[in-house]
Amino acid sequence: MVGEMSGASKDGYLFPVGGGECGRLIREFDWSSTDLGPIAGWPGWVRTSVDICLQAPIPIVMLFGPDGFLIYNDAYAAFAGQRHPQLLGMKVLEGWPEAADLNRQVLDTCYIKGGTLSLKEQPLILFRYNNAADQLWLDLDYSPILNDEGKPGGVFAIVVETTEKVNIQRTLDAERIAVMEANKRLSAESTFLRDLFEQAPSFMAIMSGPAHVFVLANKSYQQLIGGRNVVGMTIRDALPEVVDQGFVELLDRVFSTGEPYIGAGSRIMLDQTVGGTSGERYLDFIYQPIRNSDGQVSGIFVEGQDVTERTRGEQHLRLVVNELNHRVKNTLAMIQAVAAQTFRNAGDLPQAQAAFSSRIMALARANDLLTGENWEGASLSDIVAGVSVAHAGNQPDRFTAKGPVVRLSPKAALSLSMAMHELATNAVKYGALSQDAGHVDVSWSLNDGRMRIEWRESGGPPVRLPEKRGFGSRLVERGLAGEMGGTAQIDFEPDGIVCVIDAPIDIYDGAA
Amino acid sequence: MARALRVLVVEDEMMIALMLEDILADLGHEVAGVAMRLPQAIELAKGVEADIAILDINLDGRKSFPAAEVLRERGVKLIFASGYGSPGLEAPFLEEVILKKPFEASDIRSALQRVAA
Repeated sequence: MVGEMSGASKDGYLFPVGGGECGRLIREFDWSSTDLGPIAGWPGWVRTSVDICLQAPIPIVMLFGPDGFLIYNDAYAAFAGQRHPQLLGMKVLEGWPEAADLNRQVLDTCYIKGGTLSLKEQPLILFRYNNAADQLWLDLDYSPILNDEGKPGGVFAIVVETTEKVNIQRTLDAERIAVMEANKRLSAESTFLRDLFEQAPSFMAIMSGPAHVFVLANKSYQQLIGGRNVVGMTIRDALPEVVDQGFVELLDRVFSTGEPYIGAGSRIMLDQTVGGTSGERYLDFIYQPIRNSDGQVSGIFVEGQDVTERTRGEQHLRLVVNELNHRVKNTLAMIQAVAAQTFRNAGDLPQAQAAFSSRIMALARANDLLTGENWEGASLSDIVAGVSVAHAGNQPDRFTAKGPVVRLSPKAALSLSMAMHELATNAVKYGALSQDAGHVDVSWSLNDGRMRIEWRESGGPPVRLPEKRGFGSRLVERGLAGEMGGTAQIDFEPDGIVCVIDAPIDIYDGAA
Repeated sequence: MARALRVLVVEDEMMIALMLEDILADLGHEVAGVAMRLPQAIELAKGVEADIAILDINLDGRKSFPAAEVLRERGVKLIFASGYGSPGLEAPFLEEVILKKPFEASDIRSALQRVAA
């Protein structure tokens, strides 16, 4: 009676004792159709194995006989899912057709050869629930169960499912790989950005905090400040020379107000700069506040370009334009004065027009001469040659010039050209060049810091003293003398006009 | 016609200096002297007998202020002429009359009237 109460086998035999659901099922199962035969006839080694299996808290399955009739415990039943309870008492290859290859290997190794088999994290696809494929990983340990004769009568298998562990491991691995790849990407990005920052053609630096401590400074920035290493230093310590130039106040203001500052063509004096030299640079730049996640200004980004060459070019251009403007207007003022003088002293209009035209031509020739010399001055011989060509062009032997090399300032050159034009015009009209035999000899010499120029006419008609001194005389004796800072005198000698100019070579020599 | 004035001309462009002489003569004034360069202007300023001086600010690249100082100390009134692209007035002459080039006889007359008044 007791046996029936606790689930005795069909023939009333009470085995196995306990063993949970699987114990009961084993007791109730008709084993006569299996290699094991009716349960009452099971030899001791089978019964012992079954007891060990059923008492174990870990999933254990046993394969009996060459076909591997299956007996397992509750822990294994839970693993087998919906394949349980049909699985109990089935041949292993029929019970797990999807794992037939593995189980053939198990039977061969353990049952036939008596060996053991340990498989770690063995992947398997089983159909445990709703006939759906289920990827799992198992730690499998197989050993033979020896019969009374010491031969394998079955196989004892401990089945530990490691799917969760493997999945976690796989997730961790995938995450680790993803993190590594992200790190690699970030590192590449950061290298790219750092290279970009470092190699940017504009100068860049980042300063931190209210004292403006350099955190980063790129190559262009370092070049600008003459290769000085400033990272980790405050602006005052790093670039002491800029403190009194207002740049620190600007940084302070950007830091406190959070408003960017843009400087255009700002002049800065650096103790050390490009190429290790000190000096003046012109910069286009921006001080851009950097805000932290709270919106507070935490630092300042400095970016800009050295526009020194461009600025100097612009300054030079402005200078050239101003100079040109100055010259054009000066020339116009000269023309105004020439016109005033010419028409004021004119006898008749056609004569005045001719005189005016020829004076303007003389001015133009002097301008050409100076332009050819880049307005730096002209040589005395070139000035005399110009006058000679203009007034005795087809008879060069009638006009001689002799003297050492002398450079004259632009103003002196212009004045002397105009004065000699007046002398030559007079010579052509009334003097030596009005007759075929006439001659003009210009000679000059230098002595003791002074220059003596002599204009001597000969072979012309007899000279008579003019009734009144004309504009030409005034221009030479007053104007030229004043311009040269010396004296100029015209003598009406019987053989011809002689004009002597005596002036210091450098009129500022020894003067204030 | 206003009373005749003695006027010193300091002008580095000989043609313009001669024109100024003519204009002053036409206006009935007397040219007390002409200087075209700074050393000559300073030298002349020390002894010239003049009521008024017309000084070009720029004399061949040099400023005429040293000559103006001598003249002012001697009680000579000043008119400055500003050339093209040349610098403007400097202290202590910032309040002086300035004559812009190009000028005509009428400009000279009104400048002289203002200073002589």
